[in-house]
Amino acid sequence: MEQLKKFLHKKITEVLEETLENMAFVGIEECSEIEASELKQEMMGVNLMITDPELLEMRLNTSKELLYQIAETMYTMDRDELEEQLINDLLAELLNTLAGRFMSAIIPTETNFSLSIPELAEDEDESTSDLKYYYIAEDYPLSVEIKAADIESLNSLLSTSFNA
Amino acid sequence: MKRIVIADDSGTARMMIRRCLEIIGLAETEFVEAENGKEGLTMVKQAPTDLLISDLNMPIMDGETLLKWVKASPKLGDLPVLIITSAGNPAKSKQLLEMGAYSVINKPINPAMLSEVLAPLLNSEEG
Repeated sequence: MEQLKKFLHKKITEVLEETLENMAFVGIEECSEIEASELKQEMMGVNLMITDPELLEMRLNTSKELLYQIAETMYTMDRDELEEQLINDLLAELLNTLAGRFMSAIIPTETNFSLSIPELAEDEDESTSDLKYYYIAEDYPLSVEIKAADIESLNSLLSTSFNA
Repeated sequence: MKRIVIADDSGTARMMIRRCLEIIGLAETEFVEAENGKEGLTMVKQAPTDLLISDLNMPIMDGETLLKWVKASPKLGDLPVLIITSAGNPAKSKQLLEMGAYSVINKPINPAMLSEVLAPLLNSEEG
């Protein structure tokens, strides 16, 4: 199981780096949960389900300030022109892209996968799962969490990938 | 290209696609945006369209259904449909290409990717 965790950690870090770099020219660094929480930022979260070939849930939590900075760059708009709906949409699209890249990176190439439409999280992020990874981008925190409905089954599906 | 319809439920994704197309020299094109496949189908029926770009995962009508409708239509069957998705993999791409998609590319996109994939369409227009 440790092998699976290491594999997922490596892949999520790679695809997060690629997604943020490509969409927003933003680099990331890994950090600890404590380092992320010490930055004391207002966070926003979004959830997405992967329904096939395994039931997984992904959650992206991002500093609201980081999202505004990314939106300013992407939309070439000033802060006061950015509506909340646009920020919500940006967060959802970040996770949508991230989840797709992640699934492409971990499952065998001949296997199809299905993503749900991302939904903004209304609850506070208080989870401390084993599959939760923390990062800093532009001095602002973000985290990605993966929840597997059946971790043994996921381990079995991916064993050929991380043993390759 | 004179008119491109972009169907994606994410405004951010539509904006990124539009920006990339502008960067590769299509700034003079009319971009028409749709939030789902049903709207996209309505938009391509409204006026002659040179390219339909569609996401797969959308509410109301998904991109795969939109592709089926377009390819089944005698009037729209020749319209190139470029799928840009986060849920793509080789198996899915093969299936979509067999259904008549022009090409399938994965998010996140960049101008170079679009330029490469659209080159045959743009070159045939120039010729």
